[in-house]
Amino acid sequence: MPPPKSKGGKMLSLINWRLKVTINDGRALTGQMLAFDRHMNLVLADCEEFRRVRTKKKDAGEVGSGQEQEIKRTLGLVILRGETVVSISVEGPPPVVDEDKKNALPVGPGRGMPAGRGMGMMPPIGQPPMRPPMGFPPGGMPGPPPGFRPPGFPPGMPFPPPGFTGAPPPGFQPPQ
Amino acid sequence: MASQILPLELIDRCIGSRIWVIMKSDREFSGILLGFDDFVNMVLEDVTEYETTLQGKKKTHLAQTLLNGNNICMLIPGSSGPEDT
Repeated sequence: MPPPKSKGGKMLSLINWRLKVTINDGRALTGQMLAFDRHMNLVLADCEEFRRVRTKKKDAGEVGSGQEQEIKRTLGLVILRGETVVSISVEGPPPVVDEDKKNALPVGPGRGMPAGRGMGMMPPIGQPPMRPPMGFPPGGMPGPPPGFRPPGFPPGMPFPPPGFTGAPPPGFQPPQ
Repeated sequence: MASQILPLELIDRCIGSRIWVIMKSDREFSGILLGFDDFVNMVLEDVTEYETTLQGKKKTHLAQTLLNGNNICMLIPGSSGPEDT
């Protein structure tokens, strides 16, 4: 019985590593493996292709027959068809990502401030926070006892009628 | 965590953009990817075919082409062919 983690474990452990992949037409590709699937299709980043080309008849007289020349091309991000993969070997470890640099954002030109619609969350400066007083008792509550005055009313003033809010609006002078 | 994007998903994201297809032989195509199927047969539009022969390089323009997935070796998304690099 195979160990429980064997399913795709080898390929999974190679993810993000720089690999050299030989394919069945004689080419070799090196690149960072970002992804694979069950067909061995690979996604390789920063990929370079190497081809060994035998210089034939054309150059035979000049350079000597059978000489091999390596042609290198930079391809970038490549999806490689799994069917063509012959062998995979490790070229190098995954590139080191600086954790601090990854999380730290550079200081941008913007500025942070609270956003809202219309009235702000805070009361406007210059006015004390004020709760509108209840002018009349809600149903089922007994009325104010005789002689009780809501705050903000000088003595000697008639009791406000129902619906009249107790405090005068800001800037309103109470009658002398 | 696994591989977060599968190779075929990446091809799917290339639909509508230019892609460079390298075949198993010395033949390459660059065109706009219209679609592909489970075998990675592909339909390309506005295609340039590059063929490397002993005589040299041959370039052919094709309006639309269907590629058999059997002969495809590599796909390079966003690239417009060997002259791009």
